Amino acid sequence: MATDKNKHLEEVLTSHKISKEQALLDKHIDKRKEISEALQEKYGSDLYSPFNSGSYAKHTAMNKKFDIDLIAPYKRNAFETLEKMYSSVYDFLYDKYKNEATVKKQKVSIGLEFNTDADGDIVKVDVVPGRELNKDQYPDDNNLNLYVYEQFGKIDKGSDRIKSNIKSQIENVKGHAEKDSVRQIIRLLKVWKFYNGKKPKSFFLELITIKAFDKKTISGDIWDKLKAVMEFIRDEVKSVSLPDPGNSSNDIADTLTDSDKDTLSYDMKRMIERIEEDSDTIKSYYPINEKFPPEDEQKSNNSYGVKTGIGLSVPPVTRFG
Amino acid sequence: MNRLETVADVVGTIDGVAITSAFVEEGEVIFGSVAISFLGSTLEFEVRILPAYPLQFHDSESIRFVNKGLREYNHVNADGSICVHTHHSTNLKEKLLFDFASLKEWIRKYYVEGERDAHYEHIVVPQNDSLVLLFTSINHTFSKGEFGFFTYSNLAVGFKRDQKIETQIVQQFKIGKSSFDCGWSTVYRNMDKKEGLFVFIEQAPTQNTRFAVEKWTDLEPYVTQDFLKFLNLMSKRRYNEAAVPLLVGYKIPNEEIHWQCVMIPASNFPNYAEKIPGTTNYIGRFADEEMLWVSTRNCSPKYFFGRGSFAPEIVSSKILIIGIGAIGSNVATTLVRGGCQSITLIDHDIKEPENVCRAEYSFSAGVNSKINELSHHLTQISPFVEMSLSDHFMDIAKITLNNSEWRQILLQRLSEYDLIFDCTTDNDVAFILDELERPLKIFTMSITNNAKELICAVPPRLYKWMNDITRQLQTGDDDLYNPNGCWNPTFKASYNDIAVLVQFALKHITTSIANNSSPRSFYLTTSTEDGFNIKLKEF
Repeated sequence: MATDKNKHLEEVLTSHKISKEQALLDKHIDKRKEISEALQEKYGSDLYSPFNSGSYAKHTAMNKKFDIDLIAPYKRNAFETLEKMYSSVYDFLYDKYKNEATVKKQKVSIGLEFNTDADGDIVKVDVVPGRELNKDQYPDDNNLNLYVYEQFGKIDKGSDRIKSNIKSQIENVKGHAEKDSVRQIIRLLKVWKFYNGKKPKSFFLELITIKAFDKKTISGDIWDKLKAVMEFIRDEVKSVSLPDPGNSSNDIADTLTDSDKDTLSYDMKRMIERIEEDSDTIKSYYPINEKFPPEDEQKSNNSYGVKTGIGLSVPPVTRFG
Repeated sequence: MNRLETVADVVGTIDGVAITSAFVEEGEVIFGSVAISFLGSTLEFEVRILPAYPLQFHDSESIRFVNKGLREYNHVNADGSICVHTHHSTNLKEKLLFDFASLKEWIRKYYVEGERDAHYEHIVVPQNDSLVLLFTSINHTFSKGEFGFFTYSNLAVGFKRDQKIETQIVQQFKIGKSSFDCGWSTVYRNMDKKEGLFVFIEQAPTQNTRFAVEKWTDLEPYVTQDFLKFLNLMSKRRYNEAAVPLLVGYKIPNEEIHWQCVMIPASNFPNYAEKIPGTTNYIGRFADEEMLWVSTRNCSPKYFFGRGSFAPEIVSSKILIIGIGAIGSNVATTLVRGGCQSITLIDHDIKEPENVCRAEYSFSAGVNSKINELSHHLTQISPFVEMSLSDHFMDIAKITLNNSEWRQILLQRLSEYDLIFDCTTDNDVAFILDELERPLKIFTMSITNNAKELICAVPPRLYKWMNDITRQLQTGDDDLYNPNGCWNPTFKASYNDIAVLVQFALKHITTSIANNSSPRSFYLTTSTEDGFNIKLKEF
């Protein structure tokens, strides 16, 4: 039976709405606030006000993986080197949270994954330490230097990374003329990335989606738009440059290696082929969040409490080997 | 014109060729001699034309050009016959012209220009078809003059043409108090052993450049007095066997060593002590006796799998195969023939005679545990594969999955593998494998009825992908095989139907691993509309 791709994608978006996980979102916001206050207490006047930069701020979040990032902007003289800044923040967070969370060093951030709480929820917060480029300049330009802890695409381990104006990155999505469509497609690509364990950072997917909307005439229904963006990625990812919205000398395309880009192009090629060949395949690439199945499906649950159809996988009986 | 007249007529017309002894026919064989004047040299050859000529016989040309005086040159056999590489023809006249042209090409390349081939040719040892010793690499660097004992085991008795031939494997070298095992797998290392002697002489013991010395006296310059003293001691021992093997080792290019083997009659060692005139001292000597060389083969993985193996990333992987029915047993056999050396098999099932027609099992093993029979089969194929077996691992896994402590141990055990092939068709197994941390490489494979499709799913969400794809391909086909008696219905497909898909899938999987590409789920679909063909659909 063929799948109505547009109906399915709408249901994917609905089932992944951030508002469906309000309680969990609130826990994240509370935890981020707690970490922010702890950092301010520890670093005092060396730190400007930490702020949220993740997908929630950009309205591109989806409820399977919260992108709660906390940017910690430090003053120029707070640390001699970016490496010392990174290490200091890691040591502080590790000491403070080692008994209640897994604290690990990530590419440019420090990841905190809190132990499962009484409701079975896991809260994750990424803290991104950054340092202003020159003394007292941050309040004027919002520019920060980050430390690259491990190889990040083409960017070498141990190098400094200028990540300018995170606030303007947030505005980049919010300010787009077709912001609703852009956000929908970004959310869908994040659903694909999450369920299929794919590599590109969300920020990369955001920028390349915006670029596709800028370069191509993208119209029609939601599948048409998603397909157009996937085609753009398939054809252009190896050559496209994705300047950081705040600092054009910063190319976000460099966060993927050439081989990662080949893989991403191939991912898009295969995904379009398979979905065009058999519309049911869209359900495998873009699954509905089974926790929040569409209403009509909930109604179709039979009297035994066993769900049928999209929401629940009933394994076929005829596999042989 | 008959065959003999044609030969004489054609050879007589070839430029630079003079018939020095007229061609005659004895039985079915034609004999004669020629002198070939070419590029300023004149060389004599006896010519022997065998009955099959101009057709080949046992993969060899059925014409011989013999000159024993040329044995030191490349591509000359021990009997002085030249190895000519020539063109095929079924026409007597044309074939003679081709073969004399090839002989002239040999004269130019190897006699006149003294060309050396880039690849190393082993020294020529007189043929003895009663015994062959197989050796493999060991973790020891031999130095010149080293000698001692080695152990060997009887592997098999076979036939080479009409003669019985025994195959033995070299097991271990003992030097003083140290011993060094050959790199065979445990099954082979545990075989019963006998003892022989070895000496490492560094340089190949040759005469005429490429031929092994034939008399013991000719070996004397290559060995030390210490070795001869050792041999003298050994000659006083009693032996159960009629002959004692002596391995003679030497270096060949690329930092490798090679072993030849000569048999010493147990009751008549070829060495003796000779008094040095005017002194009370003795010197060890070899007697002027013929040496009885036997064959050896270097069977180290480099050569054993030399004709074709999987990429190093796959060969060096620690591999787990869960489920060894038609698909799993084919995967296992293919990996072992491709050089893989660490394989664990998990399956609780028992092989029944009905399994034999499409899986890697034998009627002769009767009703048998699948893991035991397949493991035996795999170790028979390769002397390098180390097998681990479990018939209950997945049962324990299912029982203990909900116990957090056991679950941790279970996942840790599975994470020790580099490559996992799940060929169980058991959704629970797919579910458990989905729990493993990446970047483990896991492939869950199954086929649809009549082997119309093969499905291979990989993490993440291996369980969902496998079931989604299978559900999409499912045609509601219930045309299953239902034999008489109490036996579960099963799918219909022959060994050929299944193996062709498994081989295609393995080629695709191993290519992607060798290219360092991220594994993807895929399925193979077959059709017979325009001849049989297979299409790959990757996700």
